Amino acid sequence: MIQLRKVSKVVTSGNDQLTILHPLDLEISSGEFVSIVGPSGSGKSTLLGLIAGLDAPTSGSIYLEGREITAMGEDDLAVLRGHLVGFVFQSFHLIPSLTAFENIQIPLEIAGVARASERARQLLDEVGLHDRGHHYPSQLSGGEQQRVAIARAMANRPRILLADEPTGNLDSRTGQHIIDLLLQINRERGSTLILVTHDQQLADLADRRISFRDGEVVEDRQKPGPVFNPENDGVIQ
Amino acid sequence: MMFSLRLALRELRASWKRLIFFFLCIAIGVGAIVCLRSLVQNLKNSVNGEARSLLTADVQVSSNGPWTEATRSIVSEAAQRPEVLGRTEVIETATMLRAADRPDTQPRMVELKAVEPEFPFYGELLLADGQRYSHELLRDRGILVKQSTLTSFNLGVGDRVQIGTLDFTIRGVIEKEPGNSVNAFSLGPRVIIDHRDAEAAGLIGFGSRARFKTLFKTSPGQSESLSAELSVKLKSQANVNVRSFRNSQDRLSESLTQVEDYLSLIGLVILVLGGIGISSVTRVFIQQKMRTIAILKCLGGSNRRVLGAYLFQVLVLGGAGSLFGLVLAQLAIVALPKYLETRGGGLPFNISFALTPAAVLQGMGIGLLISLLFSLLPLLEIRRIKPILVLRTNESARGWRIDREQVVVGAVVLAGLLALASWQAGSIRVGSIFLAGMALMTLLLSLAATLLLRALRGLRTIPSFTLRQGINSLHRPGNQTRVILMAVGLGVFLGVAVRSLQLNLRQEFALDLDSFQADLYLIDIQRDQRAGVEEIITRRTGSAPPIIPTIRMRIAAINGREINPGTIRPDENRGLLGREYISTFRGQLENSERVTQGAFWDNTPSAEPEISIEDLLHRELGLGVNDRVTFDLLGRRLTARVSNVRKVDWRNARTGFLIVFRPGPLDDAPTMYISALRGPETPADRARLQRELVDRFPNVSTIDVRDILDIARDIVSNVSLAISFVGGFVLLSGLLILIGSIAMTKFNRLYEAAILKTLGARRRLIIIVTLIEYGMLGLLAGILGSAAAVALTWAISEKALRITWHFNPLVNLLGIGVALVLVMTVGVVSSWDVLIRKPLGILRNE
Repeated sequence: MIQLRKVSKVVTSGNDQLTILHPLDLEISSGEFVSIVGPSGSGKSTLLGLIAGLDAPTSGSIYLEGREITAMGEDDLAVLRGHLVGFVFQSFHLIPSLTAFENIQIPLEIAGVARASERARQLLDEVGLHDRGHHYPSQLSGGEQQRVAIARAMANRPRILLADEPTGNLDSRTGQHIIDLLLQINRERGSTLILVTHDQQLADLADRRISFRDGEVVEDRQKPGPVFNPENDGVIQ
Repeated sequence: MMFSLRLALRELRASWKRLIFFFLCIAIGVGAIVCLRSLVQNLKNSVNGEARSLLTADVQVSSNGPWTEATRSIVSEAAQRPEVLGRTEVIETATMLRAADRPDTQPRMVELKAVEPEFPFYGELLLADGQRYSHELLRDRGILVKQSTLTSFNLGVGDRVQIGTLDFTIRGVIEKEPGNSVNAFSLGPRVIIDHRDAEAAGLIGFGSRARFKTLFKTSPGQSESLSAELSVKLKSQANVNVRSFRNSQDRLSESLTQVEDYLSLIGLVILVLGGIGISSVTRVFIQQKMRTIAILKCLGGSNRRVLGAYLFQVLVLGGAGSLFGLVLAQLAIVALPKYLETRGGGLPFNISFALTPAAVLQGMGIGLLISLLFSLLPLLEIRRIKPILVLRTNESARGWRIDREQVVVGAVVLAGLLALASWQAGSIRVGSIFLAGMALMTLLLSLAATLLLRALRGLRTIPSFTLRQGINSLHRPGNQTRVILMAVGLGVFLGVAVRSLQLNLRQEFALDLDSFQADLYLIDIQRDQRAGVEEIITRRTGSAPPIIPTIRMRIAAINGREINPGTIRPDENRGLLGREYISTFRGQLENSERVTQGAFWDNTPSAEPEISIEDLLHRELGLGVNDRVTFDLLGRRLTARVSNVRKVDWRNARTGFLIVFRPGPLDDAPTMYISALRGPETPADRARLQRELVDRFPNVSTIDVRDILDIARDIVSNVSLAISFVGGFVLLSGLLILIGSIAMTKFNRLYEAAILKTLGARRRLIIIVTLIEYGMLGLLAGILGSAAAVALTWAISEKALRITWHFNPLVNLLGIGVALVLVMTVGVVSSWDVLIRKPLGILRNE
């Protein structure tokens, strides 16, 4: 369960104050798949970062699984992230000097998991990269890098998975693979998935779609029942 | 062009903070060069202005023995020439001085100068408290002394002192004396008496080591012809030396020029270090600017314009660094005279302390050139950046291709550096050696760094995550590991080398006095004083001292070949052939000697003169058994056969003679006696012994090794102070490079830390990883530097100074420890905002 109470974000640049997020209340249930859409600069990525505790809101409070993260210190936040939250970025953010395998190992080792390498190998298998573990990020394609990033995000079996335009840097086919992977995790593990995207079609896959504009929620709707989709050869989804 | 300039200035707004440290390095190097060069140039100007007062005359004839009749007549004849305006005699000798009315104080050695009323022709003898010098002060047994003499005897003006057989009254205190060239080693403080008193006090009798000088004043411009004529006429006279103020001035300014050039090489070391930093930082800078450059190219910027813009940035910063260096030099040169005053080190003449225009121009030029030369090659990478990078975020790895332009530019850079070094050293040979040495040092350090890093790579599988992550950070893209290792390693190297060399020297001098076979030497004992001296010493120390005969001689011929300055070949050891030998005769070997060739004679006199030579003469002059050496003993010639070669263990010898005669032939030669003994332990007993000796035999001088060791220790500590100063400069530049390198890679570290935080890392973990990373760097740099220092000090001690080398583990450990702590502290402190910044902003900026 994720709860936001009157959360806002204002940044100061020189003498100007820029409101990125207007005070906002939001609740997301466990296991829900939520997509967040909206134009560039509408505040959706900021929201995601706030939920992960990667940044602090200007006002308001955020609760993850009943714990108020806005009251936590930097270190407690880090530990919480390590166990509870997995984050997938648009530009992957793998550590370039580590191999794919080592990148996946990091969160496990930080959390002090026993037999980290066994688990990392298993994760590599799960994302279909069992033979690429010794490669460095620069030797992997974009899609492969994103799969490594997902494996890394999944390493400690987080109950919340946050993805910030995970397909933004990928072609549509590769992007589809990544989305399939995320959906699979959401369905099989029952973890909450919040997906920030530009892509309406992708957003429509979610149980719930929240639209942002200028730092405010303009629409929040549950997925309508099965719809006829003419672009998909009339197949009912 | 205008585009490049504008672009450069705009870019500088953002980039100067990242590059500033390297240019501070340039500032320090330029400051050092400008300051040192200006100082020496000031000194040179003063020397040129005051050369006459250095010699105190236009022409000087000197001899280390009393004038022979022949010399005296030649000199007197010259004095009759019309251009000679004046002539005066000076005697200089080391002798013992004691307080006449305080029989309880210990006599001390002083450097005595006996002068006639005309002295000095040039320069001024300055006395303390504004008293004016006139020769009248020396009349009726007057004496002038240094303040140190008054202090050590607790005397004042008006008190009486005894020198030789005479008592003198102190009439004034010498503040500054003309003609006392900068002398590092003297046996005691200066005293001045009247010329006639020297003889009356019995100081210039047979066997004394007095130096006799005749000074001439000539009409303007005539000094050279007089000195040339005297040189020709006195050529055949042994031990006689002619100098004019002009050739002593030439020699001095020549050696000062050398000093200046060598000193500025030190500045160049710092600059090259800064240059290496600049080169590495430019490479990283260009990598970080890749997108900017690609965008510029997309917008139509040609290679030439973009390159020009970045070159211009480097030049602006190099120029600013050099200017700042001038400010530093100006500050130093203002502070220096004050520092000298507080140390009480007066200089022999007036020096103006100011930066000279020549030094300023050189410093600016070198600072700009180094910046340019070292950034040129990395800047060429700009040509390779393709505009397509704008579209592809992950640029493919670029191979190590070397194209023609790089080769050409590389050659230009190399030639430029060679020219710079040669210019600074004042010689192409020294410049090339310097450059080759620097290159070798850089290569070795870089090689060692590569090997160490490779070895560390093997540790990637160790179980500790933090340790592994720390090590891994050393391989981070755009890492400055090698440069930091080099800069800090070089600093540690110099620091540890200086310190352990200093310790080695100190240990050499501090060798327990107990290990000395003798710590008190008596010289100038006359034949008829032997029994008396022996009696006093036996009574005071409890054992009879050896009284050793000595005869002064020169080598006149070897195997029939005449040896004189004209016949010595350039490849021969001029020093050993031309020098004066103090020889002895005895019938047996000393304990500290062993024969390496031939056999030592038995204790019977022989008719045929035989000698034993020390191994040094065998090695350096190629003398061996049965060679024949002809000696000149105060005009008398004597040919002797080499019957054996000896090796003296100098460390354990009371006395050591290069040449020992078999008893017999020298029995009636003019002989002086010396003695080497262990004096009494307590200072009071030593003082009593020396006083009694001086009382009864005023001509006998005692040399106390303990005093000399003190002087030697002072010199060592002064020299090592100077070197430590330089080492400190290099360490400072190393630190600047360290800080700069860390600042340069800050973005990579911010980024990595943000990812780690996202994945659940606490700050403590990031601090530990940072500590491990920089600790590792500091440790490696420390080990590299101190290993190199061990090698250097070993080589210097054993090969150059020929002293026993001691390994000082403490100094090495200290060096490593300092490097470790320093690098760790700087690393963590300058990474502070890595710890406190929120991850999101960093990750979204990527």
